[in-house]
Amino acid sequence: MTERLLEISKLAIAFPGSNEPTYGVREVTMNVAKRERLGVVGESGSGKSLTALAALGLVQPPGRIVGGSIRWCGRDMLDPKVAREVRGKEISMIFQDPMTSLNPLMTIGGQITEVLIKRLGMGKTQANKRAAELLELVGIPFPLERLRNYPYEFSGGMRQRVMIAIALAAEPMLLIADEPTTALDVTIQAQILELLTELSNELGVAVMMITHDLGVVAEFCDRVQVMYAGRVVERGPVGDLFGSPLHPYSSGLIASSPRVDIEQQALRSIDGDPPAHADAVPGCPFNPRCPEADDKCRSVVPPLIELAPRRWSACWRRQESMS
Amino acid sequence: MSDAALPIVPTLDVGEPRQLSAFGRALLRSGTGLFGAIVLGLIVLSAILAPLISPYDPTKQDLSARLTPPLFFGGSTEHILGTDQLGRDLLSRLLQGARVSIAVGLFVVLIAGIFGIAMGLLAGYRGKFTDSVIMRVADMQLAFPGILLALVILYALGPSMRLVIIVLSINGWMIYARVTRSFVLSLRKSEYIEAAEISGAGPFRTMWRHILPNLTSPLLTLGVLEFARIILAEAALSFLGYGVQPPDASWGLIIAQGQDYLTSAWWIVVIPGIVISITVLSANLLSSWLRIYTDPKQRDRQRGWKNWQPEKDPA
Amino acid sequence: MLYFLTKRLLVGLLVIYLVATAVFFITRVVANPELSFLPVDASPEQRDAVRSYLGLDRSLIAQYWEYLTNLVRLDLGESFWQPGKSALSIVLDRLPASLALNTVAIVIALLLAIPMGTIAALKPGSTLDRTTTTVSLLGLSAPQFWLGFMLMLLFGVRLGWFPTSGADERLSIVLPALALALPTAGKIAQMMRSTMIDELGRPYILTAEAKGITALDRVRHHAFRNSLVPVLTQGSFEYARMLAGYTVVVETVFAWPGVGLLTVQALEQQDLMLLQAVVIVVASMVVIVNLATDVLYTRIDPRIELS
Repeated sequence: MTERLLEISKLAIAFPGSNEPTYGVREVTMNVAKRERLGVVGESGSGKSLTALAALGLVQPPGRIVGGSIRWCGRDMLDPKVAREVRGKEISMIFQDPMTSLNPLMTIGGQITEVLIKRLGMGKTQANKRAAELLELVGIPFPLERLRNYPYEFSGGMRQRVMIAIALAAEPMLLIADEPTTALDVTIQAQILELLTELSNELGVAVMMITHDLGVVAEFCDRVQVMYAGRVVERGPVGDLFGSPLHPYSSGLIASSPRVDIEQQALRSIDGDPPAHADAVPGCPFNPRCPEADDKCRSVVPPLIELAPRRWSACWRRQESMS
Repeated sequence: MSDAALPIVPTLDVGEPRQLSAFGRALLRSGTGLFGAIVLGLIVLSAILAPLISPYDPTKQDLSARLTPPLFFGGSTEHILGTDQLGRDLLSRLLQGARVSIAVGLFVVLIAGIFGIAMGLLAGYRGKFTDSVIMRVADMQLAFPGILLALVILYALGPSMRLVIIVLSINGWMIYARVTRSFVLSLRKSEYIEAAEISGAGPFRTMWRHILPNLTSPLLTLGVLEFARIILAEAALSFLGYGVQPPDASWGLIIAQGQDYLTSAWWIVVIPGIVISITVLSANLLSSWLRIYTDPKQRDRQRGWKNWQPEKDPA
Repeated sequence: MLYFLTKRLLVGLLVIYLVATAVFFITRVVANPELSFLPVDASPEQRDAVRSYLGLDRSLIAQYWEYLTNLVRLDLGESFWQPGKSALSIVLDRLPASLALNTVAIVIALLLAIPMGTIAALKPGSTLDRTTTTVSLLGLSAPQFWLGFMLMLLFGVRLGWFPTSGADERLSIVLPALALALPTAGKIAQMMRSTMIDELGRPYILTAEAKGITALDRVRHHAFRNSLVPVLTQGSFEYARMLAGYTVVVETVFAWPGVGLLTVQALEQQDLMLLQAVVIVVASMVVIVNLATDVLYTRIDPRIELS
């Protein structure tokens, strides 16, 4: 088995509420292995971004990690000192909107060299040289001149490339990408994905790709994890999961994706809305919208278990039919 | 119908104006906001009741009791806050001054506010030419040396409370116009208003029923803030001698009349200033609280963790 | 850039023109300037004589035209109070004192406000924050002239550290500058605090945290630096407002020989020419400062495109 880099176990993240705290992440157990590309899919509010932030110790107050453990290469990431050391160097993260995620009043050269100087202890000249190299690596022409530019002088796609350059500056082992293509045009999306593919191949970086777009997952990822209402509901290799999903929610997601290969009369969708927060619904969080829900589904939360080799699912009905 | 593949698009939080009772309860819970509201309320109340609660006639001179210090500084209960150089009771004068200063504040806020809001609505709704004309005028007026011109006008036409109100109103409408206009522009873009307009509501109707209620909160906050500023401006004008004229009293005027006695009878200058400061401070505190209360994002920031223990093992 | 500047300059000139016109009408049309030369019981003939001497018996348009042409040649008339001296020269004589006072005041205000606002922003809602906020609010709630008296009383009279009037000694500038500075410091501190809080909540700060940048550096190199831009611009505007307004009261309280005190003296002496000159000069200064602020802003914020 390939070495596991990131191991998250029974993670729970909560926020203060008017009466009681609400959970953004109820219970998540997952891991990322060396060099693998894991896709994390779900609607807004499924907890996918929160989980990623938690992995880096970046959960912003008033939110708090209230349960579970996170280990990186065996080290405890819940310890702020460890997290601070790992962040930016061993695990990097890129965010959805590159316009607001970059400091508008700082040159992009400055933003790249900041990592090199502060985290890797490089000198200014060396850092600038390396920054130019990184810009070249992510496909930005005239890197030396562009170091002196400001974010507003770049297009959306270029800015995202800059973010990737910053993220890769310290040669991390894992890159977490939170909806990196959502804010971009479709054509640029493809370019960025291509870039990420190239880079992860060349540099051997593992990628945790968070997205709501199944197309991105299909193209880029090896394994995919589906999240709903703060829990993992299914996980497995991309081909297997898309071919024969083991959870009604996954089936619903796949069915509602527009297809070019078969004829569709109308787009299908899943009726209803996701719950406001984890725990809002008793039993399986998906049961109000699930065509197969029965009384057990409505009262007891199904555990995430391995129904077949590498195929995990949290669904009573599937578990029953498999045994 | 929810399309699971699309991210949720955030919408402008334009809703019903908050309930009055919820407002009252929130005010009671706040620390500084409540303090501001209570103190300001007390001061306004004293201003209204001044003729009834004044221990003396503020213009009555009593030369035998001139320059008496306040109670805890060598004075007596006869004149709790002391007397001035003509033997007039300071407390009574302060109450009389309160009537003037508060009245000026309220009138200016009303006049400048109504005019400014109207201009802002006009600019926001008509847009293009009307908008740029109104805003240009406002911007240029902002560049005028307001106090200086006010002094010139007051000097030229003869200072009086009425003229002070007019002058300060002319000086103060611009900010209401700006705030109103920017709200109108952003509200018009919201789907809520678009829906109203599509369903046939004319501009006045839309303005009245939909836009104005949403404006009450920010405009109220602004009004209280401006009230504070006007009190200070009127005090400065009266201090210089070009505001309210004797025998009327205004807090600024009282200070001016006491300047020569700064070292001998410090209370004539110090106490009115404290009163002005407290009034303005309360208005500022109330306005700050109102701003936080009416901005949903700010309100959420104030939330915290109450006494809550994490569960041992979430099942 | 040049186009932008020229446009602002033209608007500025328009403002000066409008101010000058306003002053003209107020002083000529509304007031009766000839009265300042005559005893109260002057006869109508005497009044008419003075009016024609002052050129006030000509048509309004003629007077206005002469006024404007003189204005363009920087001739603002002769002072009534100090005959023989050009009103403009008297004002320009006193201008440096006001500029010095206001400059010292704004520097003090910034030196006080920026640290206070920053510290408050780092721990919003804490006791430290509440204290600094209350202090700021107190500062900007007190009337400036009264603050002047308080400072005078405490530091000038009781403690005797600083002189309380005039501009004769080096330390004379301290108390009036403080009186001017404190309310402005309060305003700027509030602004610094809220700008910092906003900046600290922005996504790029999260990016910096994800890069492993320490909290100190995130504040220092990202939030603080970015907050300075709007705050310094605001400071610049406050400087203009100080000059245009509250310098009058503070200079009066401390007998500081600047244009503020000159305004009051001109009013007392009923010297309309001088009054006119003061207003126009101050309006021009405000326009210049605002223009300089615009230029400053474009230099420090690289995003501004001056096309």
